[in-house]
Parts: sequence; C-alpha cells; structure tokens
Amino acid sequence: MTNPVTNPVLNTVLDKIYIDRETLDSRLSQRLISLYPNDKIEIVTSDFTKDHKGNLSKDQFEWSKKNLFVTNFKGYFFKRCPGATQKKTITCCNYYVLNLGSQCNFNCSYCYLQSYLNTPIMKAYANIDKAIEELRSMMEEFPKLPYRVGTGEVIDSLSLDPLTLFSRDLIPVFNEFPHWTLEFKTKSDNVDQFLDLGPCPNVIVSWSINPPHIIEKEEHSTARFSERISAAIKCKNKGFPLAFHIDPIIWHENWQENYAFLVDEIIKNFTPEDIKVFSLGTLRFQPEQRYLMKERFGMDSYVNNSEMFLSDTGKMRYDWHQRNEMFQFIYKRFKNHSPNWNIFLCMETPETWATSVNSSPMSVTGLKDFFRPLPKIKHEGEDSDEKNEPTIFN
Amino acid sequence: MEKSFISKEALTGIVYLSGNKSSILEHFNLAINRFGFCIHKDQSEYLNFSIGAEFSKWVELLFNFFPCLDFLDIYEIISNPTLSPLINKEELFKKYHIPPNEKVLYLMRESKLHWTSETLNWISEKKIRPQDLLFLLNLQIKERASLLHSISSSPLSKSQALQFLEWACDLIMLKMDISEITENLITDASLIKIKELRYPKSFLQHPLQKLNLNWGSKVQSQFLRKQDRAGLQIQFFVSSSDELQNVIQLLQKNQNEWRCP
Repeated sequence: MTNPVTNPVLNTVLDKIYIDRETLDSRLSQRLISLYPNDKIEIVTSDFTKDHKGNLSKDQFEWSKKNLFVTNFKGYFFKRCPGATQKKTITCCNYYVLNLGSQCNFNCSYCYLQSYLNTPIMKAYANIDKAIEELRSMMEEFPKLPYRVGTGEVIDSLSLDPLTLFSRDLIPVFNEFPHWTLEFKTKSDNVDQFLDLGPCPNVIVSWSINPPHIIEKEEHSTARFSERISAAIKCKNKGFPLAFHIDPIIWHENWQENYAFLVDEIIKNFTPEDIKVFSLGTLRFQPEQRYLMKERFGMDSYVNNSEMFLSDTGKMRYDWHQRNEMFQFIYKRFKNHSPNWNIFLCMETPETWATSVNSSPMSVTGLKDFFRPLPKIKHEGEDSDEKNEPTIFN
Repeated sequence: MEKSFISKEALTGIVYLSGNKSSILEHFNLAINRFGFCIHKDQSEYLNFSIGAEFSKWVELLFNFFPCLDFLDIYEIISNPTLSPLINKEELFKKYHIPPNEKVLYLMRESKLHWTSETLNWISEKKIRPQDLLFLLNLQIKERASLLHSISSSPLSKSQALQFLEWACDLIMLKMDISEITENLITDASLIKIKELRYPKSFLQHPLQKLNLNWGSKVQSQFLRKQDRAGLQIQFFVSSSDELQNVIQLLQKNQNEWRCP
C-alpha cells in the first residue's frame, strides 16, 4: 500500500493536526504522529474548542477545513439519516449513518454543513472501536435485515481515509453480516487504501458526481470528474459494488448538454449491474445558508445565482417544474440506454416521484428494500450528538 | 395556602398604564419594584420571585410584561449597565427567538450607531428579527443603512420588504446600480422591477403561464405560486347538475389540450 502522506494533496490540505490528549494512545493519533512532522502536530485538551461561541464566520469556516482535531466522540455514532425525520413531506430511503468525524476538507459551494456545523474545526473520532461496538450490537440483533449504513453524512467518507484508515476497520465487520450494506460516499479518488480487502459485495463505494464544468466551478478541492471515474473503475475491478449520486443537480445555462455528457460517460464506463444504487437530487439548502454561501462564493456561483423557493420541507429548492424537467431528462437518458438502471430520487416529495419517474419507490423492484420500514434503533429520537445551540454568552 | 397574586395581565397593565413603550427600561424597573412589593405583601410563591433571584426569573418576568420586544429593545436591555448584569442574556435571546451569535450582536450594535430613526421605527413596527437581516451583512455599512432607510417608508408587507431587500442586496453585490428604484418610494411595482433585474431569465417564464387554454365564463383560472410549486388555481360555481356537467366537459377538454411547453 502506498504511504498516503506522500500524496501532495493531503500535505497541502491540512495546516495542522490537533490531538486530544485523551486519544494519544489511539491507533489514529499514533498513526498521525508517525506520519506528520512535529510542527504539524499539537497535543491539546478535550475542551480545545470550548472558547468558540456562535455560528462560524467565513474565515472560521475556512480555517475549520484545514485543521483537524482528533478526539473521542461522546454520543451515539449510529443514527438514522436526517431525511427519515421528514417522512411527512419527503420519500426517504431508510438510510443509516455512522459519523466518524465532522466537517470536510473539500469546499463545495452548496455544502449543507455551512448551516449545520457549529464546531470550528474538522474532527476525526479516535474511538472507532466504540462505533463498531454500537454497530455490531445492532447487527447481531437484526443480522438478516437489509440495513444500509453510510459514513458520509457530515464528513466525506474517504477524503481523509488514507490517514484514518477507518475503511479498513469497517469492511471486515460488514463482511461478517452480508445482509447489511456499508456505503462510502465520496468526492475524492482515495480508494487505494482498502482495495486489497475486496471483493466485498456488501461494501458500496459511491461517488457524488456532477459534470466536469460543475465540479470545476462549485466543488472546490475535490477530485476531478475523470479522477472519480478512474477510482470507480478501480473499485469495480476489485469487486466492490458502486453507486453514483448525481446530487445536487445544479441548473445552469447548458445543463442539458453537461448532464448528458455525465450520463453518457457513466454509460460508457459502467453497466447497470455495476451500479447498485443511483440517486438523483436537485440543489437544496437551508434558507439561513444563503448568506454564508454568498459571502464565501460570491454571486458568480451557480448556487447563488438561481432562483430558489422555500419548499414544504423548509429548504430552498428550484421550482417544482424545473426539478421535474431535470429529473426526467437524466432519468430518461439512462432508461433509454437500458431499463435496468436502478434510479431513485433523494429527498423528494411523492408528487415529484409520480411526475418525474412515473412511479413510487415501493413499486420499483430494485428499490423496494431501500424503502421498506426497518426496526428503530435503540436510541432513536434521543439527542445523541454534541451539537449545541451556538451561543456567544456562556 | 391559596396563592394570592396579581395576574400577569394585571401586572402588564401596571406597566403599560405608566406610559408608552419608548421608555421601556423605566417601566421595567417600575414593574419590578411593584411586582416585588406585591409578592412580599401577599407572601405569594408566584414565580418564586424576589429581587436579585435567579437570572432566568428576570427574563421570565420581562417576557411576561413585554412579550413582543424587538431586537432594538433587547439591545437596549443588554447594553444597559444596570440591567445587563442581572439578565441572563442567553435566556433572554432564547425567549425572544433571537439566535445568540456574533453576527446578530453586530447588527444590533450597528443599528444603534448607523441606522436612521425611520429604519428603527420600521423594524419595530414590522417586528423584523435580526436573523431576517443577516444577508445584508454582505454589504458595506453605508450601503446597508441606506437600503434599510429606503425600505422604511415603503408600504410593502414584512415578507415583501424582506424579499425586496434580499434581491436588492444581491444586485448590489452584482455591482448593479439600483438607485433608480431605491431612491423612490418602494412599492409593489418596485418589487416586480427588482425581481426582473435579479432573475431576468426566469422571471415570468414559468411553462404554465404559456398554457393557452380557454376556460370559458363559468370557470376562473389563476396562475399562483405556493412555495416551490407554481400552478393554476381553478374555481367554478355551479347551481345544477347540468352546469356541473358542462364544467366537467370543459375541464376534460382542457386536460386533453394541456400542452406545457
């Protein structure tokens, strides 16, 4: 395996690594200490970030992407995807998340973390053993149920993985429970660190993907389109199922031409059988995020330039007709090639499902399992993470 | 022992009877003195309150008297040297649904220093919250003050005015000159004009508006936007089964001819 720190991208991305003294003996801290020069590492106390108060400013947010804090996570790792909490308004695919860190070293203009995170630094959790223990307890209780678990909710699953090697801890656990599925969701091309563990039919490596023009303009510091495709081909060849999420689909002047290129490239490189999951989602964000997006990316950014409307879910979205037009365009281009492409809409309303793809998820053979209700996890509904109301007064 | 206390409404009355809201701190002090006195006299456990008790009780009391304080009032309270140490600011912000962050405090401070009295009155009348105005932080102080002053004399509703401000802010960030609009009274027409400038391509281009359907005289059709969906609201009035049959036939005909570009 190649030494990941020889990757120049990683060297430039992280300005500094702060290690919580309590985690000094952990595998992760020891690995980082061994990989990075001393001047890049600082040992700090657990309450290292306690002086931060309130929402992040532009400068704080940008700083948080370049500095990593290795600490222990105090709450529950294993949770339902937030989409499941909005079941009255959107059709959700029963996704579960295992958060092994927070914040992301990539810099996408539309990223929802801009309105979600209060902590002023990127985090990687050293106590992955506790995460695995939680996961294993659920797996042992429901070994035959088709739970899908992703690690890319509040951090890119693989952007730091050459450093953390969390993938290598998780894959063997999922190998023991073939009905459960693990999904690494990424915009990176960091896959070399786990390829030797394949084939793994229940470990999906997935890419959030957009046309090259959108990646260039809106997904800063991420792997380029061709790099993501090449990484996906490597995974396919090593026996990992793939998924693609064309999400967020972003409206722009030449959207049809650019998304047609994207679909055609996928069709050229993969078969429907290679791609286990294909989801489509259009641009959406919390209204309060507009201000920071404009401050950080200016009015040239497509996400700041389009007309958006407040939807029932409380998020800003494109006009419903516009969303349907984009969904139908991409959906039909795939289906015209082969009816076997399994495509679903992410965080969309039942009306959009009916109009865009002329079906409901439960009526699509390949999708039934995704939308089938599953038993609740033990601590569901409890406030399980350390996210606090931001305040400047205490 | 049966509790004997003066109701919240009565106490609020004491405060409001004392004068108008412009001297809020004075009235608050007066209210607290009277309230404290009443509690002592009646040996009531109402709110378990006494002067100098837990900070959150002060916030509770303030809220009982003034449930609708605007953020200018809140800033007056937290910047008052006598009251400020007594008030739990976090509780206070929470009670009045104001996010306690630096940006909000910045806007509060700036309102005192740079905004015109017309702007402050408009904020108070329209119950504008600081979080409603955060997007204006992308402008320079002078631009922000000037834009807010322009809207303060406008007859637009709160939501229309905020929408106007957001589009105006975007256009200023896009380096467009909107002085022709903002230097005059901002009306419904100004809102349409600024939307045309902000979204020249999408404005009035919804496919449903290009539908060419004949609804006859018995059916009214109106293009409406409801959040992220735009559609036709269709209304009809019938008095007999025959009339209903005619309308159904018309609707059927229009459904068949529905050709959205």
